[in-house]
Amino acid sequence: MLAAPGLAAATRSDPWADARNLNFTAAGAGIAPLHQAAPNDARLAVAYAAALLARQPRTEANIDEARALLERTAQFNPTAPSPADTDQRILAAYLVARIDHDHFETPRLDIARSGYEALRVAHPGHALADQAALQLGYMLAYQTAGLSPADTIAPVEALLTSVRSENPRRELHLMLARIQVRTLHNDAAALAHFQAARVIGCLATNRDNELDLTIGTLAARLGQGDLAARHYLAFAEANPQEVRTQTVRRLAAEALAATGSSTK
Amino acid sequence: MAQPLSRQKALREWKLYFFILPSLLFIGVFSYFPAGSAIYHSFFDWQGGDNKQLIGFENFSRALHDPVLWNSFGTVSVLIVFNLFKMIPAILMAVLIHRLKSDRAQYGYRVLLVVPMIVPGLVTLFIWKFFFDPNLGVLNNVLDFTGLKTMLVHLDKFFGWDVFFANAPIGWLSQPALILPSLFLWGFPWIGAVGVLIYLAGLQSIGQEVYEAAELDGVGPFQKFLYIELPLILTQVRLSLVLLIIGTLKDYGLQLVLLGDTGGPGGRGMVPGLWMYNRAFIAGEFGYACAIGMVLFLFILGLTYLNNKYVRVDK
Amino acid sequence: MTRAPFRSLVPHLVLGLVFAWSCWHVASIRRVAVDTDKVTLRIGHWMLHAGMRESFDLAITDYQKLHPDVSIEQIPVPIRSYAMWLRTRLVGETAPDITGLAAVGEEIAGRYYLPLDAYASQPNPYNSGTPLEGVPWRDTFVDGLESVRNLLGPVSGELYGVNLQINTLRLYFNRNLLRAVTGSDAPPVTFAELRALGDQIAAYNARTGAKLVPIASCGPYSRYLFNTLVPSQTQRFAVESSPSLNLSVSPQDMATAFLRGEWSYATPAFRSGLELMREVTSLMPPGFSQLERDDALFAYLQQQAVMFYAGSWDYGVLVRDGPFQTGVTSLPLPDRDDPKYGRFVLGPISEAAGSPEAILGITRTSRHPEVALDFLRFLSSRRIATTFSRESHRISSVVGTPPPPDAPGLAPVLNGEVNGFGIDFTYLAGGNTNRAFQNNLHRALGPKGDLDDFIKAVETTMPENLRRDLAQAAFGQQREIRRLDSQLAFALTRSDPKPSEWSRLAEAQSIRQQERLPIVQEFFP
Repeated sequence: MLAAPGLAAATRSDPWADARNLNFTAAGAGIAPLHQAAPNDARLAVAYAAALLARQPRTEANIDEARALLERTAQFNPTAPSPADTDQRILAAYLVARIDHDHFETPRLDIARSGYEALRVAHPGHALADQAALQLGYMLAYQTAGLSPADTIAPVEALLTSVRSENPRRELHLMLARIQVRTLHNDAAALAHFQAARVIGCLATNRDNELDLTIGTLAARLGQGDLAARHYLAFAEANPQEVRTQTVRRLAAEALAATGSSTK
Repeated sequence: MAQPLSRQKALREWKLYFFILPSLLFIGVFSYFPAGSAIYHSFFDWQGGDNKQLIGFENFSRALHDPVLWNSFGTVSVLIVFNLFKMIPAILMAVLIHRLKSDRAQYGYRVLLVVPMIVPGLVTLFIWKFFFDPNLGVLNNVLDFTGLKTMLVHLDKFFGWDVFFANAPIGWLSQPALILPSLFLWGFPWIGAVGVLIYLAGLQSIGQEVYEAAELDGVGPFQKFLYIELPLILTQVRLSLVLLIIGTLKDYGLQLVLLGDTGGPGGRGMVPGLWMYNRAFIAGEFGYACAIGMVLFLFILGLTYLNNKYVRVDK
Repeated sequence: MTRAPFRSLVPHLVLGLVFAWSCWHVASIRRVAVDTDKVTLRIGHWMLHAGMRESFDLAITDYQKLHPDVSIEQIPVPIRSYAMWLRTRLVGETAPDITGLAAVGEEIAGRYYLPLDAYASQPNPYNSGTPLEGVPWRDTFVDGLESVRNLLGPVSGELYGVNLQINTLRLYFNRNLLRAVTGSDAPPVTFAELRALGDQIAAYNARTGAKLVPIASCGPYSRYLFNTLVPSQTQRFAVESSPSLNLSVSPQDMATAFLRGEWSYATPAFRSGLELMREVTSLMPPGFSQLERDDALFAYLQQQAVMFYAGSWDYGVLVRDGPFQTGVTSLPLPDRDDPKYGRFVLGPISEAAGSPEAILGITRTSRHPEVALDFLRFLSSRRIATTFSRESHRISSVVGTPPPPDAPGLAPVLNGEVNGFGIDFTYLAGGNTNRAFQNNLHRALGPKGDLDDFIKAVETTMPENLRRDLAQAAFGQQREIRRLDSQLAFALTRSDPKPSEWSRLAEAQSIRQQERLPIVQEFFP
């Protein structure tokens, strides 16, 4: 999000602006009275809990308090919930699982897993339920003892088929691609996933360009010169001044030459 | 000896305590607060600013298993031994000045000793860094000119040191094996003004009648030093010893200027203070640096206690 | 009572006078500070090299003529203490309005500096009447400010500063000395020629009794030299063996490959890099590692060295203080035909946009952020960029700005192959592996240097150092992952949540998880 026109520095009275400036301690101090005044307001409760998670100094007591607050918020059933209120309670449930997953010094993976799965069952198709699927994918791939890389492919692909939101789909594809190329050395399978991720597209700066380069390299390895050249040239056109550009153009020409085509 | 103040009198004059409040405030803010903050932050993973996470004793546990830290204590122990040796010229200089018959001459030498003190310590360090320069430095040029370098090369071949080569300038600060000798050489001829003045003050408290009695007994100059002067300035020597140990343990400015923040090639010049600086300002691990500071403090406290307990001066 | 002799009053008089003067000095500073008629802008930076402060002064004078209600104060800080100075100022909220961004990561940039993206897409008004009129501010920079964005906002994608200049590294040579040694002032072009020049200088010294050194160097600058040479040997390796399949090798990838035993310093390309380092040190003065920049500069300016490998930021002082003409050339690297090193080489390297220099950003505590922004635009306008280039002899990052008239060779070489990578783990978090590398380098270099001895010493402690560094990297990534949860939550609890914001944050978190989780799984189960 961009700063408001006028370049005004963040004022301490705006906790969300403080949070955007990564000053969560100030954000928490700003939200605390608002939350106290409206303890059943899910939005304020979640924001306050988020501030507790990140405020300095970071302590286990703050994490526990944030988790408890989020759990209460997620479980609270208002009499006439609005869609916005429901979304906030889903967010609260997601964050509880995230805390169990990544915020305690000893992760509570089983509890986190249950939280993510419960979210997917209760709110199928919701963006946060899809994010939960992505987190389950990470757990399967990297945090499940005794599961070999080959054995993670099928369950992660199953998650992929159940996810609709772009971000988790893209990241699941990239996770699978990485496992295929680095661990299982299955370039063809990896290429398919990289291409699928590229079609979805990335928001992070230059990530699409890096994907083009990766796809080009894999395609060249697999003898798919046209595909390789197409992606190499896409990288070169998007990055005319990059240190790798001239090499990439040369590789594109070589890839095309290998298939007998000429550079367009 | 001053008589203790009675409680009633102390309470009656309570307004006088306000006069020491400003000083106490300054000491509190500029000495005790930073120390307290360091103790507090040593229990955190702290990257500077207000971004920190409480990690309990992890920093101390890490310090206990930190080979760089313990090697640096080894280095500083060697430096303490060097500095003990370097006390001797100051004592001898004080004795020589003390024995001058002319008061004017004594005064003159005292002034000559004090004048270099106006040169900031950092400037002295930079001058010595230049002395050690392998190509332009005074030290190598003097060794070449006097033929001492040739002697060193022969000794090197005999002992197998592998640091002195005939066709290459001596890299005093670029060869790990020469780092500690360079730190030993630093400050030559090791006659510090403060030390000399402290010893001189002690010597001047020796009464003339002691010397007269010694001369009547036929005591020679060296025996005068050994049996009269040295015993009677042991209080000052002890004070110097305490200051020397504390100073050597905590100082790192010399190593930082001469060798950089990594302690020079091979890290041979790394001392605890420099490691603390490195962790704080180079690696950004301020919390761990505070923990190193605490460990260093405990060392200094321990050594000072031992010094007080076992280095006694019989009155 | 006896009157004290006059001379015993002298010290008291001196003390009193000094005290009175310092009181007056402090009081007079306060008077200036409370002048409220003008907007006072302060700009803090570390660029004390020849020509930079003067260029800033010229720019400030010009700006103040255009805006008489603005007064700008330059605060130059020595580079050795700059990082500490900046951090304490930022934390204490007393930082100048504009500061140079050095040793600043994304967390510091995001916390203390204003994002400039919204303004980067607007044209720079100070470019009107030039070919850059109407061009978005971002596109007036040679790389579109991507290098600054990648440096300061890799996760958020935010832009926290603009770089006024770009740096390159060059081999400067004394034309007179070169002519005296070789009969010509043409510099060496290939590494073989550089090698041969070393021999010629040795012969010249033997013939004339001179003590010329081929390349003046010092500890810090020798690292630049090594980090230019060694990548020529890992160039082909980077293209053929990149774990991320992107023609480059990240510090984390290199660390994990070493830990798995897939790579080591015995790997031919890496060993060749070490041999190249060892060979080039024979061209440097003995004991160079204990020297500092000023020592090397002194040696070159005193004509004790024929060449000097340094940055484009040093050219200004060479021109100003050198009593001889200095030529500029790129460091001759081994080419593909080199019999010893050529097999690892792809070709001449591309410097593309160089590395960003003079990155300036606006602090959040600035009382006049609009004026600060305006001044930043002014500084990066074509006209002022040309002034900077001319006065400081440095390369501007503003598109179309001519390089310094006397040193076109400073401009980055755009055409070339991708560069390789260094092998000293400089950029790996934690610094333990790099420190072990630097601390043992003396074993490889110098008169009795032995590469095998060096490799053995470094690789003995390498697994432990790499683990510590990777643990540090993983810890940093986890801190970001955790922080991003809070950022996500705040993005979604805003009164007007924007899907693009939380999607970008979610993606950033995924990137960090993909970096961290495989490392933890493999090395810290």
